[in-house]
Amino acid sequence: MLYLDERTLEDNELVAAVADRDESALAEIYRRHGSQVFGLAKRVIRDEEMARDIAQDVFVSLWKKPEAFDASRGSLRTFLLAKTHSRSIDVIRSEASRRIREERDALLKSDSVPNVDDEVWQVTVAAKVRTALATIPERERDVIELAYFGGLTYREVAAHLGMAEGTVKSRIRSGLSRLQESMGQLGIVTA
Amino acid sequence: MEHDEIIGLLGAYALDAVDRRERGLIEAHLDGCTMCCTEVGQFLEVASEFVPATQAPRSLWARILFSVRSHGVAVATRPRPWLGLVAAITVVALSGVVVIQQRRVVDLEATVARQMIEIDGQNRELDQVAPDRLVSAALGDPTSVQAVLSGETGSITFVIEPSGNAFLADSTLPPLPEGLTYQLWAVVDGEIISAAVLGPDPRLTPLRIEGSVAVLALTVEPVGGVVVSDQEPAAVWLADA
Repeated sequence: MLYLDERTLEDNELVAAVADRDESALAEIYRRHGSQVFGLAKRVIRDEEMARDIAQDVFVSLWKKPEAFDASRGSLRTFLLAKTHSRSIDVIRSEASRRIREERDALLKSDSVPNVDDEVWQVTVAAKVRTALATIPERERDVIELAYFGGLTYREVAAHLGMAEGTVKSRIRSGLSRLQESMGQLGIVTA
Repeated sequence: MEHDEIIGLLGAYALDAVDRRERGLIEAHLDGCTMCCTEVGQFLEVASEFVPATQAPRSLWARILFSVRSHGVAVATRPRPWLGLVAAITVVALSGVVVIQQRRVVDLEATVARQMIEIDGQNRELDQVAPDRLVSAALGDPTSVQAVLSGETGSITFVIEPSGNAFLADSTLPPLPEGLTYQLWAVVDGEIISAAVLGPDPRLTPLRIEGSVAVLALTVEPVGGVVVSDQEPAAVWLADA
């Protein structure tokens, strides 16, 4: 019965239960978000074992410091995925992951440029999100994709595409703003 | 950095596409700017929709739970439960309270050594009394617990009698190269203990596992085993899974 009760709780109630050292609450959070956390890490890192380490880190960190999640700043899903992405990027940029960077660089030099992976948007996001993505100009989509999935800084994106840094910065921001608007209209994110 | 400059970087910040220095400046600014905070929150929410739908490995939750249950001992940033004890010892040494932890390491070293001696003796004993019969008897006892430790490369099964006598009943794990051994660890009453050093190709091995076991984990270690492991478990069993 406890298991059923956990399933009826909101994410922020589950985090409060985690703060009370309730393992079943953490299990429910993992059930809801585990695949996405692992999937994002794997997509960015391109290494299953390291992606598993990162996903493990993210959930164990939540167990150790549940107070780091502030519901007033966004959803638990957003919090967990932001942590996952940030840690994945740290791994990519660390000295220890030279192999990953080399693989990424090889990919960036391939014929698929400027798209890191043409199929990424097709296979990794839900249909509604694809609809929203289709509403923004390709030039904005490309820089967002290179930064988010390619793990590049905006400066690296600019160098890679031979563009001014300011242009990349503004394309990322305007692209995200447009996406926020269209996703809001589609009910995917808060309008 | 001025507010307008920060605003221009918020999109890149939300995608982790700024360098370390810029990240620090932006985060300092966000602490006092509600408007920028809101925008970053919206961008992060958008980015969180770019999520690949990938099935997580079945062992992932077991690894998380294992780390969580050994959290009382594990204090390392990276959740390597055994390394946690080493880290704890280092930290405590700096604060001048190292004696207790050193004693604990000594105790653990003694435990591992005693286990190796006991297992060696028990192995010799078993050589004389048809070990498979002992395992069969334990498996046939309805009060015994069968613990199947599963991992990426295979599984290993122990049968634990209520008395604490336990037997390795089956293993599909690959033999290890020269110089390495499998080592079994148990979480009992929140403590991580070395339960046995099993050798490179575990066979019908008797051992003792006393108390209420929450987790069993198997690691790969140098021959002779270790007191504190920094390895990820190769296979894990959770009592209430």
